[in-house]
Amino acid sequence: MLICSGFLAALGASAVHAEHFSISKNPPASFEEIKKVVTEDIPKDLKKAQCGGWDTDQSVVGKIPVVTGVPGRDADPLGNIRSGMAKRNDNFIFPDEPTTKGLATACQPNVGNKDDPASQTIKVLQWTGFGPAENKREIEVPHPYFEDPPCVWRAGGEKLQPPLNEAKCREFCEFVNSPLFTFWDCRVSAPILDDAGNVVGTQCIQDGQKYTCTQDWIDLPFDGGDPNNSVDANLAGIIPQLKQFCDPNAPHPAAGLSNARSCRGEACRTVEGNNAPYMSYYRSYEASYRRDPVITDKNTDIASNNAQVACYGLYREFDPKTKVMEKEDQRCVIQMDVSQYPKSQQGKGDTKSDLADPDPSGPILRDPTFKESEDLWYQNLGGGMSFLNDKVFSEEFAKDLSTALLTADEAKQRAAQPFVDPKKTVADAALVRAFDDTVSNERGDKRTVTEWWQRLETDANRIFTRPVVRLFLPPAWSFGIDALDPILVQNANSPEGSDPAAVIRSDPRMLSIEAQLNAKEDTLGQVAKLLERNLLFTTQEEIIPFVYPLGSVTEFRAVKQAWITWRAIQKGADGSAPFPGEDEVNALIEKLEQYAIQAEGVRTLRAELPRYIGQLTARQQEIAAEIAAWEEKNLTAYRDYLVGLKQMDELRSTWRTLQQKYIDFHDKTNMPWCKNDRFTTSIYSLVSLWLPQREGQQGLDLDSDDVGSCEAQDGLPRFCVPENEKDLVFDFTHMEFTRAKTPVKIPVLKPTLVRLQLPLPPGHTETIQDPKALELPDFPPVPSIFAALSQQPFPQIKKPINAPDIIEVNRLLPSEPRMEQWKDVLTRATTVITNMNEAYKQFWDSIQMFDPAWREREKMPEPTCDTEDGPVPMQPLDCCGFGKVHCVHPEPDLLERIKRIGDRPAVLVKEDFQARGDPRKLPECDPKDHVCQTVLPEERSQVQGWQVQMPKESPDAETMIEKLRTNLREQTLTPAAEIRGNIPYEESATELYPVFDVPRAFDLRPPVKSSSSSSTQ
Amino acid sequence: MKRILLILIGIALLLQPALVRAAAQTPSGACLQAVNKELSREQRIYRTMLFGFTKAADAPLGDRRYDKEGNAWIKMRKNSWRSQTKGFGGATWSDAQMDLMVERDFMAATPVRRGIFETKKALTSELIPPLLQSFRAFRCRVEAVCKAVSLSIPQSGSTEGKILKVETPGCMDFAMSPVEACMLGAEKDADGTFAHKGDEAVARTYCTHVGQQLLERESDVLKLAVSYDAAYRSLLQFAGHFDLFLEEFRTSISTPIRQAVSLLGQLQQIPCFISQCDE
Repeated sequence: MLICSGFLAALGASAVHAEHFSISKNPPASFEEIKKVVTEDIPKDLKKAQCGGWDTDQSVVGKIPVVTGVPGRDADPLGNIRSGMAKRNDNFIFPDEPTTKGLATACQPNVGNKDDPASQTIKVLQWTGFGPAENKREIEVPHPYFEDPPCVWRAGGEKLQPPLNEAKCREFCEFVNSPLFTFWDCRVSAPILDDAGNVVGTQCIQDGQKYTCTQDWIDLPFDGGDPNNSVDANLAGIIPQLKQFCDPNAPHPAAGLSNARSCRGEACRTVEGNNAPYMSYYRSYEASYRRDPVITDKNTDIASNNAQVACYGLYREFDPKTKVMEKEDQRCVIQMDVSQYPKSQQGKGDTKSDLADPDPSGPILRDPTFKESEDLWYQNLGGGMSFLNDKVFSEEFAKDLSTALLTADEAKQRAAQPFVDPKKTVADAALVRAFDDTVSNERGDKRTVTEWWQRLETDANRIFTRPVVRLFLPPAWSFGIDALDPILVQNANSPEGSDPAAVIRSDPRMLSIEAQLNAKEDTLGQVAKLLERNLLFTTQEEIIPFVYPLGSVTEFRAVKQAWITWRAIQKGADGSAPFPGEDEVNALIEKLEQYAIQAEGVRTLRAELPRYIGQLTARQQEIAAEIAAWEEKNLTAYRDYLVGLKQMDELRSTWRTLQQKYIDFHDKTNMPWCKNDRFTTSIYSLVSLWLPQREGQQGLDLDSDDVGSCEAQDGLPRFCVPENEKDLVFDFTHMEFTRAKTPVKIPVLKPTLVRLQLPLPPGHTETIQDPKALELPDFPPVPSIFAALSQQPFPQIKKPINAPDIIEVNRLLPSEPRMEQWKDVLTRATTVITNMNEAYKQFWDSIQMFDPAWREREKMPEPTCDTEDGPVPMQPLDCCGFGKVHCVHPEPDLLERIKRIGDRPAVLVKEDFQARGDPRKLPECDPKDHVCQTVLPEERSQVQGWQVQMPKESPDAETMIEKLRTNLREQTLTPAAEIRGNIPYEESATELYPVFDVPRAFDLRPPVKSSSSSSTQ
Repeated sequence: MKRILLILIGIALLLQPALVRAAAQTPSGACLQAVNKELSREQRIYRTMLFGFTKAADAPLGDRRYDKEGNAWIKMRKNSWRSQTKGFGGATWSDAQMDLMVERDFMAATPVRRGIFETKKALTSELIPPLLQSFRAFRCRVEAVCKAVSLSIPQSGSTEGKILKVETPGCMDFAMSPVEACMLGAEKDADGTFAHKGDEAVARTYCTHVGQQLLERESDVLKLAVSYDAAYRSLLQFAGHFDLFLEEFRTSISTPIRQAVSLLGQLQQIPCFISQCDE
């Protein structure tokens, strides 16, 4: 898996990759810091790099290694440029003489039972004993027992300890060629004639030995003994000759099909029909590669090298593109001296000038008409900032910042559109493509693992970026909220460094007016408290004057007693004498008693105000309760959301680990030294061991990212990305608190108590002159305004139709099955990437592990092979076992592997830049080329916000206060301005008028004009 | 015993107002009433200088006004003024009539005016000179009333065509008609002295006494009103400055801030390709 971008990571001389260059996380305190990083730190880091850069003057033609001497498939490097890999030529190449040598045997493996030597026989044809020599019959003869790989098998099923090497293979050949595995046969027979000339028998007149496995005559002279005796042959003499068959380096004997013999060139390629009945079980190749060197700043490129390759086991030929390689197929070892490569393959190209991949959009000029002598604001440095033009600032504005600010530049949002053309929303430049070993001719430029990984990144970014709940509040000073309310005072502790701008920033009125709910746990509670606090009503007292009799119970009873005494005197000693006006006096006395009782009633007036205020408070409590209910519902949901976020954190760390593994693959595992793998041939066998198959697929499944659905358990895993997610915005910017404008008017009774003029009895001897004057009216009832008030409309909270919703947790958080699926995907992906790392590490380690310098760098021990007797040291051309230690290369793609080892250095040349992807087309994010960060759509619930509405008053109608005043006035005065009910107040009606006078209120505010420049001096 | 004592005390208390009523029968009583009337008129007119006087149509319900004779009228309904003074029991005056008949400063063209305290866009310090002037005028008027009363006392007969020239120190001369109720001259004894020395004593001393008290009270009330006014205007001034600030800066500052806010929300979602952003 290879990813190339403009710059490759720096490699140290020890081939351990250096740390990625990073910029300090703290925002720069001054421009000098930025300058230092840009002009010093970054170039210094680039200088340290050992490879990278580009040189578009060089072409890649001729710089892809041409390999000879090993089997495999060649390719046209530029035949499939956009895929990043070469176009493979499916014709299998097998190297011929003189570089290919080997050993082959005609004997069959697995004959008989390993532990039972008696079973290790085969049937061969031997002369029957009569008749011509062509009369054969079957006999059983011993046959060597061996399994694949044959080299370690010896007599009687004995298996030697690993490792395999050429010596053991030769010994096997000699073992198989031993006289033990020959049998006597008669070449020529003749009949025995008796004296009569009748045939009385047959005798063998020329005998010989045959090889057991090939049933071919051993045609070297030897002492055959008696032709009729099969066991007296002395075969000791042929042993050296038989041994000679077994030297791969010796010239091939022309004739003689021994049990085993050496092979050369094509003869070692023992597939169907070729070189039958032999099967090659050991081959050695002399490989070499050659290419043009790449010009770098060091010019130490090693452009050619040789290698020795040894392959063990019976020859198998297959196409790694279609057949999944197994461990048993890993049979070859490569010995190549690459110890110089980490140093020699270093070299850089250009890193600064003449950009090979420039941004076609060009620099942004927000204000192309800027004139230094006129304009105050310079807008052309980047897309989001404006700078003061010092010249104009000093000369015209006299460095007065406040006036400069009044001609503020419009900070239009441009940061998300860094292009000159505001209609464009995605970049034009398409990066040079990543590529991998899954590229094949039939599938064009499809790179399975790259595309899978890119889609995984896009999906992971989506699922780990949870929807955000945001809260817009209107600015504090625009609607009467207390500016120092804690919710609006954020960041009370300014960050380190004495920054004069921090003073401005800490002024709550200048602060950002957005509170993101996912920032603080308690934000939601604070919002609710804020609303509650600011929905308190202000009150204003309105006087309701009225008149009521001042009544003292004692006084009434005293007057009553005076009349009773007078009446008693009038009525005489026996109380029976009538007197004029007696009825009126009796009625008066009754009335006075009533007065005494009802006079106390005035105390109920004290309860009026508390009752009204109580009702108002109850109404306010309703409003607060509504807000509290909203808060309660949302808090619970929000708390669950926070808990769920924690779970996401665990997943996120797993994801990060996986990403790091991927980076390590690119920077460490697949970069033993600076190299550029582009335009080499795909090595499918490197992919076999870890690319998961889709269900029902036969052979190597190169498209295993085409799984049917994200729930599939086969193939490469894919996240199930939730759809229909949205960011929620609670928009309270239109919220109105009308408390500052219209306070609630509270009517307060202001009683004026006036004494009553009660008739007193005349002297004892006098009589009542005018009985009518003794009539007292009923005591006036206690006026109450409460009843009238309860019917008045109260200020109430008005929720528009789209009231703020409860945050729906399900929309924000993944449901449980999703989390499980994501965990599962991450686990499977980790397995895939881990195994990928393993496979490539195995490949690269196998050719380096005999280099002591490498062992010292990597802290690895000497390579040994585990045997029953303990670890045994190995030679580079030994094979410890199929797929073990460094015996990990399959035979059919040795050519591709040597080509990969001989890669050119890591400098991008002209054709590298042609392997680029397509620019992005909205709204898709094509995983072929792009990893995207998607932004959720926003759902703005509720624009109006809550409003506390005072009940509307029409300008003509009498307000409640006026009605109350009239009501109470007319309880005392009739419409004709007389005292109602003839209540005997001491004052006359006209003297009561001043009580009802309510002073007028002045409005001293000057009339509001749009731009008033008048001074109030 | 206690009960009888209480009753007696109660009766004694009750009898007190009766004394005042008894005094209403005496000549000096009528003069006192006339003095009260005049002085209260002067005080009401002085108050209208300070606080203003609206047309009858603009007066709220329950407002009371006095006509040229000093009778009290109350606005019971819109456009309907009633009084219970003898002789006006059934009469209803409209707003226009009220405007015509309302008491007024004889030197002013119209009774409707804006009060000194109603002046907008002025500091309290600037209001002090007119306020003091009004108070001085009030003092002059009160003294003039008392002088007129003392000049009327020896007079008798009808008031037709009689004009008194009233001079008070430090004030301009007024030409006033004599106070009829205080013309106690008709009560002269045969020897040329007043029959009721008591009445005369009362009539002469009452006005200055009450006038002094009235002036003291009004000066204290004026001090209170001025201090309240000063505090209120300072508050308005500050609020005015702040409103100005808000208005001037609102568009030029809040617009970029609003734009920046929506920008901030988007900034955190801008793609970031350096490894730091994988945090």
